[in-house]
Amino acid sequence: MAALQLLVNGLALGAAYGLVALGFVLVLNATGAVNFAHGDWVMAGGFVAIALTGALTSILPVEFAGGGAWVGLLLLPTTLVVMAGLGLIFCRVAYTPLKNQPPVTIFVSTIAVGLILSNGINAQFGGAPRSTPPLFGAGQFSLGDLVISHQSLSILGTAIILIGGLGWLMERTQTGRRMRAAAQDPEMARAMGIRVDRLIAVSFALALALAGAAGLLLANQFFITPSSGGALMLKAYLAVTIGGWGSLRGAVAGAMLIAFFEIGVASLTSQPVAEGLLYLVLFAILFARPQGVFGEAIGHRA
Amino acid sequence: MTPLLEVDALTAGYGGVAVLRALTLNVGVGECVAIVGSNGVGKSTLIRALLGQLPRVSGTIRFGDRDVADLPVEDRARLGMALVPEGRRVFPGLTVLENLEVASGQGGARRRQSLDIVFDLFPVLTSRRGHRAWQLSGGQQQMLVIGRALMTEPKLILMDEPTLGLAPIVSRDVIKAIGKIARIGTGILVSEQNESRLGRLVTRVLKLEAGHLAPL
Repeated sequence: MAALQLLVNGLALGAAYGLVALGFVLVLNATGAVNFAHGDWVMAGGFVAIALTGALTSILPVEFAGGGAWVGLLLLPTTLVVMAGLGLIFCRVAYTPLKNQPPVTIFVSTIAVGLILSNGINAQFGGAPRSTPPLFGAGQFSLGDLVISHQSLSILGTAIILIGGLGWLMERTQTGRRMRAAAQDPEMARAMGIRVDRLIAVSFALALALAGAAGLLLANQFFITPSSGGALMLKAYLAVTIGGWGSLRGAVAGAMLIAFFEIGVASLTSQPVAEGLLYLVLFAILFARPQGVFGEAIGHRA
Repeated sequence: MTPLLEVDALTAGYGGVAVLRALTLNVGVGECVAIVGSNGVGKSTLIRALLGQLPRVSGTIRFGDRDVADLPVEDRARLGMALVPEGRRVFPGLTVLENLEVASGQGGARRRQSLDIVFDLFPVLTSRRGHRAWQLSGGQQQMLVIGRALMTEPKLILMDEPTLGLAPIVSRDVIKAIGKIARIGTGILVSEQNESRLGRLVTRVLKLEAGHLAPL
């Protein structure tokens, strides 16, 4: 029973990390550049949700606001929309003016944005750990010995919907096909009339919406501070390296592996040992498959 | 003949070095014009400049009654220019079907109609529609790229050495397909090595020499 308990918690955490990693990969694929502010955007998403909670509670009638569950439910879509808007601004300010520069310039520009976010939020909210409200109230239910919090299930359900939605968009729609084509050969995509710059802006909006969802979901159980971004960035980077640079499926698989170590392995050993083992596994994967588990969907004919 | 593409005194090049010098040429509606010339005379540069992948220094480019010289690449493509680039450039990680679908600016029945035209033209692609494009042979990739250009429902296709590096038998298939495309009334500007292999398909052959057109 304990194992099942850990499995549910691990899946929920992995799903949330998966949202973080997917947002990172979307911008990576669209621009070819590493967005080093992504962890800070996840953190910022948590604080956006906290600020929106205040705003929603003051707008909503008391009977709804007091219920908790309603605030949480409204919080998810509003956070997604606000973060998507911030994604468009982020693209316009930190990427578009530099799009013809080498990727390293964009990398530095995103580092700057990350620092502005963490310092700006520190100035506004202070450095103390904060948490977001749960999505469906704070309850839990038990099945025999198995105790599952509503929040774990909410994380899992929300992540499944968002990840599934993203998969559908990328694989089944013309917009998704165009995003993939533009990622593989932007010059050729333009030559077919595809508005590549617009698709890049869409990628930023989607990436930050996912970051917002992740921030909202994670900050309930794990708290956030303005300096949480670094650790989240590292997890996204790790997940993508394990799963395969640029692969959406790989990003989710890598995120799941990290969560498996943080929850499953840690429960058998200890947190530091689990983290050490995770990096050993990373090394093993890099030796055996440098392109990552799902890497190299594109090959070359001999 | 109604003019489709009118280029007047076009000068373009890389980093201040003019490769095309005051080049003037026309392509009429439904015409198939071949540009021949040896390596380095500016055939690819001309095609890049026409599509806008390379900024012009001076001169005008009119396409279907519009001055397109200052339009970005994607707008020229949307007006009806399509590219079959040198070196093929399929979208390697997309399937054959996706490579074609992604090029279509239309949805539903009209996209399916364009797909039917392409699969009729290149039956070999039909059986490979689910394969990733990088898995195709060179000749199949060339067919896919020509098909992809057709999917945009172009008025003019710019083809940069479409038979380069293909086995003679494959090359013949590609040329036959280009002929069919020309016969349905799509304008074609095709660059080739020293002589045109397209034979009677071509309405005119122009010789490019050191950045301008020379008498044949």
